[in-house]
Amino acid sequence: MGSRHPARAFRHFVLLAVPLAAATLIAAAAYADDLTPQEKALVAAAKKEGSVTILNPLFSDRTGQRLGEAFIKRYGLGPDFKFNNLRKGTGATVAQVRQEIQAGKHTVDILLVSAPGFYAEAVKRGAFEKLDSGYWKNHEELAKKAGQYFDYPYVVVPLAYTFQPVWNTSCPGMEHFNAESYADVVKPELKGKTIVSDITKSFTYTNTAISLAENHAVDMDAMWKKLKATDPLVEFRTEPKMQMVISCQRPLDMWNLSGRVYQNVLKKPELAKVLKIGFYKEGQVMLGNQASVIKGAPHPNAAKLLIEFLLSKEGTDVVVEGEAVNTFLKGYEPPAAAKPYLLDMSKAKLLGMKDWVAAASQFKTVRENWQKMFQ
Amino acid sequence: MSVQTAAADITRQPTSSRWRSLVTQESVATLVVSVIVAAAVILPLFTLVVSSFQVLDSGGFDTTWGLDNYRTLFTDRVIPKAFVNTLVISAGSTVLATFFGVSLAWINARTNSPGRDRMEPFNLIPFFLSPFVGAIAWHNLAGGKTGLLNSWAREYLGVHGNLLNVDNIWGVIWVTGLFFSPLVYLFVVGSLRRMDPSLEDSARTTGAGLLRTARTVTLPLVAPGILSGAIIVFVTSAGEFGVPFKLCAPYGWQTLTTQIFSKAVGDDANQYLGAAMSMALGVITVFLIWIQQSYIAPRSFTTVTGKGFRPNVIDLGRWKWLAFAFNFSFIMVAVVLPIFCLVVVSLHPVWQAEIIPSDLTLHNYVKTLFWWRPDHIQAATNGIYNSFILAFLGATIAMILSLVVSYMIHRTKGFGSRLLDFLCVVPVGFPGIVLAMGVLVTYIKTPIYATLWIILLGYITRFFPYGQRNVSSVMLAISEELDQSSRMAGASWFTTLRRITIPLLKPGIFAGWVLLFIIFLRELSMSIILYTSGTETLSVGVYYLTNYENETLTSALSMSQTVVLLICVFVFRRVAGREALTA
Amino acid sequence: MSARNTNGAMEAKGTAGHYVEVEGLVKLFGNDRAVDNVSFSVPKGKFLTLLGPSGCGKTTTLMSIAGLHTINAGRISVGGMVYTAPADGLFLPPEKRDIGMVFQSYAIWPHMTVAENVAYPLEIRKVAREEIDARVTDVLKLVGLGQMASKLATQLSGGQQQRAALARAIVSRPRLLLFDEPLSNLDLKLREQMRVELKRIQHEVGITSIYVTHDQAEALVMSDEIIVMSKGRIQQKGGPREIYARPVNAYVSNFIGVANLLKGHVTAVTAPGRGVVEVSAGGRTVQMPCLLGKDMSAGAEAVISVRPENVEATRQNGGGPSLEGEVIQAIFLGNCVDCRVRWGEFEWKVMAHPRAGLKTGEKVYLRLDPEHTLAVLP
Repeated sequence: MGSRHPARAFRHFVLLAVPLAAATLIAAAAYADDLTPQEKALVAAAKKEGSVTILNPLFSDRTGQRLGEAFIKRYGLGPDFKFNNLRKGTGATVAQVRQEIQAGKHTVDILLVSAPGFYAEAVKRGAFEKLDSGYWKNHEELAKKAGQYFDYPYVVVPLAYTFQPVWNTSCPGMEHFNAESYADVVKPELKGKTIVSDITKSFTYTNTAISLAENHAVDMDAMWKKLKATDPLVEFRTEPKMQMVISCQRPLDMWNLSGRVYQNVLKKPELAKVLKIGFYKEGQVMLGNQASVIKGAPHPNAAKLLIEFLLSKEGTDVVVEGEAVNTFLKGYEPPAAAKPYLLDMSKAKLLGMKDWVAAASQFKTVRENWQKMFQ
Repeated sequence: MSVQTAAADITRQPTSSRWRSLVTQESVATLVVSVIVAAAVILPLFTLVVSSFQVLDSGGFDTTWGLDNYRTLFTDRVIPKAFVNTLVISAGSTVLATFFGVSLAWINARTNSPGRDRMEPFNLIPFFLSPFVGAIAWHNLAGGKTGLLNSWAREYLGVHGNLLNVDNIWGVIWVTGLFFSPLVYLFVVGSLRRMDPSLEDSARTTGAGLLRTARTVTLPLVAPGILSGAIIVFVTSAGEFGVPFKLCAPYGWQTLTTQIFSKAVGDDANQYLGAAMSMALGVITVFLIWIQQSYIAPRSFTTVTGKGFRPNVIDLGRWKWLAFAFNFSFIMVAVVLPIFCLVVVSLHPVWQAEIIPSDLTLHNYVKTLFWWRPDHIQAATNGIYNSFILAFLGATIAMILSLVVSYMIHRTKGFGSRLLDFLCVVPVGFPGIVLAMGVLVTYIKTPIYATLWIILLGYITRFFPYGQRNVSSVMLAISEELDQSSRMAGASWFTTLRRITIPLLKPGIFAGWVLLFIIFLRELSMSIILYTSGTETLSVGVYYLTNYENETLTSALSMSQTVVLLICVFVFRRVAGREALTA
Repeated sequence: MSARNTNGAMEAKGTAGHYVEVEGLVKLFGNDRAVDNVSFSVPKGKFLTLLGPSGCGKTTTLMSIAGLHTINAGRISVGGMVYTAPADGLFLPPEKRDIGMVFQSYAIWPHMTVAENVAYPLEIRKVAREEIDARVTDVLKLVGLGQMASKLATQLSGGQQQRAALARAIVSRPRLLLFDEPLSNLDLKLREQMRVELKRIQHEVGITSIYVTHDQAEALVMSDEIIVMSKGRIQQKGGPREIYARPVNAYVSNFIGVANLLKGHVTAVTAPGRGVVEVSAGGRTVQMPCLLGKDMSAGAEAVISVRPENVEATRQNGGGPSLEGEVIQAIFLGNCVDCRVRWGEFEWKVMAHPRAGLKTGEKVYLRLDPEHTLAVLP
């Protein structure tokens, strides 16, 4: 600026410096404010542990990477910290943790999966660490309202997904299709166009069926019969079902995940025009994914910190943006990109169960009935 | 010499002579290796047997002793059907593979079909590739609406609906049969080539025509080879996991292997029921292998003579072009078409059963191979790295083990060597998934759990018999007297091994190494049980992509794996020569 | 020969005693007595042949001496050192026995040159390089392979491989040489030539040798002493002439050379070692004066053994005991005529002189010389 106009220079300086200082102060305050005392207490130990492994069926590579980056950044865990996102199928995740618990040999720190029966049993055996969470209280109310299973301080529910109807309007005969109710997806004119999800292969489908019946939302037997009349194809993995919808092999899947649509659109944006998601006026069964820290895990503090992160707004943002899943966080506003794929939690009819654990005893009968019809 | 001097000499006898008879280099090595092999093979199987009698309670954690698992085999809705499906698939694959294997072998070894020498290496390629990848390729070729061939048929031939559909049991039979044809081919072609032509000539001189000679002389002599090949195909099909997992399980046909898999890691995880199913499957397959080894394989040597000669070649006249067309078509259908499909699908971002030139991109390869880029898929890039390490290390360790074991089986006599021989065959009879479950449960409490070492252990246990067979066949050809003369010249057992036996076995050792390298690189069913984050293998990467990503990414990684395997095949062929694989 | 061998034990020098001693050797394969209580000894520097058909136990015996087989009972010592004695728990491994061995298949290592093959035993014994080269050159010259040193083993013919095997066996000057039917893979002319060669070389280096073969001509040409074996047992031990001229039983008679064998019994002992044996064959009976085997007395069972060249066939009955028969075969062999003469139910093998001109169908009279008619054990 030069010494020729010292007054002007000083003014410029102030004009620049003050906002800068203010911003810094605000940022520092914001940073300092964001961390709850529970988080602060865990950071140092987590950093020392140097790594965390989360076993789940949900997070894609992309989501896992972003989650890891955000997690490390928020708590300043350093560039050497290793974030391991281990993704396996629902059954495989439960099987692995169960085996590790029985063997007393742990490689997994956190389990995140929808499996109330397993969690309840494991809590009985004292297989989980006790959590001290600053954020859980922000989820608890809505989760309870949605009839979810949780068991604080051992088991929390950071996110949930729900099965919605998905269809491809570019396929012949589907141009004007719309699904708002279970009646819409079993119409006779849909013969040869439908998919039935194999409920014997996954708890989540079975639980959805049981919940719908328990809440008297849908007459399941009648619905299955009508579905059978449309000559559906049997499959249980969501991605292959999505592929069938995209390729018009079977243009309608009554139970798929909006997250899947979201990811395929990310790969090929033109699909956004033709892939449609509906929701059922009879109600959407919320399949909460429980999360716990395993007792005896190699990195317990990092794990507890990660749970906190998942329950915080910042963590929720990453997960929602990556997978288009729902959260029970009170007053949560999802990021713009994911919004079209999510339920409006305040408007939609959310269904749960009174006793998810007891429901497990119905599995056999429900599955056998279904098998009699479709296998 | 006087009696006294003799007595004095005898008392001055070094007492170390007494020890020598007990603790020789040879006996120590024998003991160590036998213990290792016994532990590696017997422990997992023992664990399986014990597990099969433990019944899981409803809580999912505790077990009680009982026979319920075996009862469930019969009463469950799905399992008996899975058993039937497995038998149907195995039988069908065997028939198909035998048909192709025998006809191609006959064309190659006994006719004047043009270009048969050039085409021979291609006949064998399916054996080296991953059947799982083959299933993926065929799914994209002929799997209902998304099949390329079907869409071509609709577009160019005006066919309505789907011309072909491999997403069912017939598809599994087709793919499995195609990929295992080389097994039968190898057994039969070796038999045909080694046959003494005077056996057929003498029939011809008595007035028997071509066909009659083929029927009454050639066929019975080749029968043991055909039977051996057929049994091996049957057993291997029964234990195959990847193909039914891709082509029929999702569409309603379960097999024993897919059921065992879902009992191991599925929603209805119950490893104890899985163990019972494994016992049922394993007992049958081991029995069949035992029959093949004990009764059939020895008889296929009856036509071997030491002299080299040219077997009878039949002049087919104009029909030779038909033979050529048949062989050529086989190669097109079994090798070229699937690979072509993999390439095509892998270049699209999303597969919709048509080739869209404007969509073509190499992005899928970038995502699955370029580990340094932020958008790489970890399971895929980990897979490549891990598979190479496992293949190198595993092949090396397995060959060392094979060497010592072969030596023990063929050079030492007695009960121990026969037991070792039997132990070596047992792992071949059990499907990979079964063995992997045994390994997992046995070693979960040890430090090797969740590392590459447990996968390595599984691989070596299951596959070292293949390496051992290669070494054994060369060792059998080497006269025992070559070793004995080294001993007589003053060399210890170890020096003999080092200076004489191993150098002479080099071709067999290298051939075995490359074969094992290939097998480890494409292995699926064991890896899928034993892997965890960071220890994914190449095939697990493909499996991961097929479950969580789409067909195009899956095809890209599959294509990468196929290219590596093809390179290995080329190397193998160069080094081992034509006769190296003949069983 | 060195006074101290690699095992440090003193070699007994200049003794007239026996160098190799095998006592009561028994080897079982399962329940099969492959070698059944065999005992023999070999003086230093001598050449012993174990002769017999396949399965008689000769190779097993050889392998036991080599240490490539363990034994069930007995004792084997060489040069005063006990090699095997199960009763005392003693077993010296083969590589410590200082034995040179030539195998039936020659066992020349295909991945080494001839010189490397021959040098191998010296390398094992850690002999200095220059000495190795010198000794290898010498021994190759001895066996007639002087020009072949740098050739790969696979480039040699059968005969040359055999010589190379021999060179390798003797280069370390072992205390004992063992041969396991080394010439059986060669063709006839080469075999005849190699027999003589081998014997010459062995004699020149003077190493005690034990040789196994089923070819009796080989045994007769090469050996100082022959042991005829059958079914794991020794049938007869002796020098070549003794075995040929005075076989001890029917087996040895027929194995060495050709013999006419007739069963009968001793009717009288006329002098020590002489007597009369009555034999019959299909209605014909005759008393034959002959040489009796050891310890044969009147009434003993015996077999008459007469070599074809000791049977005279004439057209006229020349007086004295003779057998009347009919010529049923007369094959011209060049230097003699191989005749078969039927006498009763027995066919006599007769070597007739070509000038006699015997033809098929002729009636002839056979005469035996008592000095060459032997009564042997059955």
